Amino acid sequence: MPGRTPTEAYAQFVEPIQRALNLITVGNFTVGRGAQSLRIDHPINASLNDGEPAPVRSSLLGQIELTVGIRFRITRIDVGINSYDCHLAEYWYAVTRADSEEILAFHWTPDVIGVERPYPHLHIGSTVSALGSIAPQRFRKLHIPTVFVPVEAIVRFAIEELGVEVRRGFDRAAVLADLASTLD
Amino acid sequence: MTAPQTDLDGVVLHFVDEQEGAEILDRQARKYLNMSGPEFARAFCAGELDIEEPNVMRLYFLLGLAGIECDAGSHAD
Repeated sequence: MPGRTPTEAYAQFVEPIQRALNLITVGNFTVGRGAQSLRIDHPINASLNDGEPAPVRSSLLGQIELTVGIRFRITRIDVGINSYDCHLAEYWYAVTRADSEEILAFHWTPDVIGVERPYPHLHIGSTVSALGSIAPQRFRKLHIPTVFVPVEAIVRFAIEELGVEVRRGFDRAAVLADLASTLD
Repeated sequence: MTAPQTDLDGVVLHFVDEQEGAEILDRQARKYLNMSGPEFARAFCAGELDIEEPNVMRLYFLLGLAGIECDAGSHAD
């Protein structure tokens, strides 16, 4: 998201993510500050609950967990009055059972040296794929290409498709409308 | 440049410096992979670990909190 200053660009990027996660869970969104606060052209890490899975209740799947890890960058641009942009650089989103076995995992890690598949992709966890008759041992390793998936899209997926309840005080229809205006 | 925070009652922003980040990495590396944070960083940056394994992925996204970035197979921090 662009901004006139690095701080503004950062805020316009991180705050919608925080608001989206806040719809379905509680906890810390831990952000690496580093020795020099917000650095330009330097990856910044953020993880929900220090990488711990966040328990949520799904009407479709029962008790499940959601894990979110991202890396983002603030870069200098020149677009009108906006001189800085902040954008997602890598991500990992996992939907797991209560015993932490993966159901779905969204990966995008192009910065990892030697990564096998640098493009954004999806894994169907063995908890699902091993039950089928098509390559049950192998299916979970398939890297299914996806479009770029922002955090807000995962939150919408959780609410709309998995039936995860929004937290008390939020209206589900209004929340989905807000997410749609952000994402679509 | 100090990052602003938005206080919400559910998910709150928690900023950590590199020392705090290193503590988080070390704690989680011991919990999920039975190794110290520095051991994980060395092994990951040397290409000895598979990023596709869930717990390796989990810890990869904590490396930067400790100010650790892998650079062409080396361990830079």
